[in-house]
Amino acid sequence: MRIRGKIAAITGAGSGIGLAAAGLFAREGATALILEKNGESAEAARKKIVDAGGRAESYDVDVAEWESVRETFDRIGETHGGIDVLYNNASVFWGEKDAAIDILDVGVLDSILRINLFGMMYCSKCAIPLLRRRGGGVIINTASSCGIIGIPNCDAYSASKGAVVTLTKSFAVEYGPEKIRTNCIAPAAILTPMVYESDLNKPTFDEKKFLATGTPLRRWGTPEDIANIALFLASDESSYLNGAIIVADGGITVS
Amino acid sequence: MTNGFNLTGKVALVTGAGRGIGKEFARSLASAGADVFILARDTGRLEQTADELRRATGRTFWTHAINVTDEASVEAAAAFVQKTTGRLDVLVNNAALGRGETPLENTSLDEWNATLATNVTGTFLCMKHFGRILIEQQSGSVINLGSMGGSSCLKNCCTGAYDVSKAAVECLTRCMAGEWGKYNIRVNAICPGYTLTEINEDFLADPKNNGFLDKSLGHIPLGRWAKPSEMGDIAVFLASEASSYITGATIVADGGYRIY
Repeated sequence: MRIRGKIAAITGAGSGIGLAAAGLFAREGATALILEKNGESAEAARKKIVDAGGRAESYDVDVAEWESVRETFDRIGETHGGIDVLYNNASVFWGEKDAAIDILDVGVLDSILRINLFGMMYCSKCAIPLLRRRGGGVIINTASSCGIIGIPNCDAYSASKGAVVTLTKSFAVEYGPEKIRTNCIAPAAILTPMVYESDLNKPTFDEKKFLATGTPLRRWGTPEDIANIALFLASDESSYLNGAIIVADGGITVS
Repeated sequence: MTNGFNLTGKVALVTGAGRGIGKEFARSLASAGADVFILARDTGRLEQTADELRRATGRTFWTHAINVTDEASVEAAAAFVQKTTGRLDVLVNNAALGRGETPLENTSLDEWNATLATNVTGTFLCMKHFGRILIEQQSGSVINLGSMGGSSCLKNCCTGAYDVSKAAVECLTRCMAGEWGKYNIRVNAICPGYTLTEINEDFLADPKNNGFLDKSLGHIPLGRWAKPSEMGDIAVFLASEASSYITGATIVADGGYRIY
């Protein structure tokens, strides 16, 4: 077991990558704290882990709301004293509503930045004192290929993910001396419910062409592909990684 | 879910494996279950290393001489792999000449060429000949060795040849990730920061480098140099299914030096 006895808070853990990570972390010996806006999916995730013999708790939280985040981490602090891992996974990609900046609705811009950027900052702000209490720990952030290369028609998403890349480096420098390592995963083309809704549902999306010409590995990534990377970053096996951006996209950004 | 980090049944190959980080790569891959070809120019030390690693890990190690700058030598090593196992799952292109201390304005053309020949051409030749085995079997993970110097100006800047060579290795990594994805071959790079290898331990112990360690620590947010085994753990990650959707990536493991 790679992270036995660790307390790991995972945001957006009710579905997709977060759900896979919560299950994997629990199987590797951690207590998975499932932070999720959708209470039903959080409870289902918790039950599944506990039924399989793992340790998990669910917390209803809206990462875009400061009070909700603060109150949640206060509760976690009271229950556990501290945490060892914060996995900032929660984020949204709204393929239909997000857009190029000149036609982007400012309300949509505001909402996406609130969830993807402010949410990550709120959770980090509250988690750092809890990581300190355990003498150090790990923050794992979630960017995207949009934070690395230019991708059109999702400018709010790109802005949020670019900021996540930058903040990963700032946190690494700020908190590295306190033994808090901050690293970032930049996934793309991971087949999650979010991608089903945003890409695969579009009549104009040509899946066959996308896989044959856009992705060197010729396949979609799976939530498990990313969960394993998160496990690597959460464990001591990545003990000299700090401020690293791990691109996990089957080669999309380099091709 | 697959058992992500397990290399049982896999065959790995590490160049420059006689000592230092290369030896640690071989040790870590074997500890995760792989059997390993260890290659180096100096075969005397290689046998010693193989004995030590066999005792430590219980895995099979094969040794073979290689001069990565000589195509015939690389071809002979690839033929040895073909004959011995007939397959290869993990290729670690580690052999490299280190960072010179001569300022660029005094660097000889021979010194410059030697660094590029081993670090860049050597990586090319190994990818070419061992890569054919991977292409034939339509699978594999290639791990190239960059350096944090390949993408930043180190505070003790000197020759430049080493850093240029490592930037080139990163570039080759990206190109071949794009090319070889269709063969189900992943190509990634590890860029280590300051690591306490035997060579670096000697460097730090040399009185003329007094103060180097303390000064460097001021540039590393984690406040320490890496242990070689920490690089080995990253190689296991990149070699295994745990990184199954990562290709073309550069994993910088420098404690935060490069971004600070």
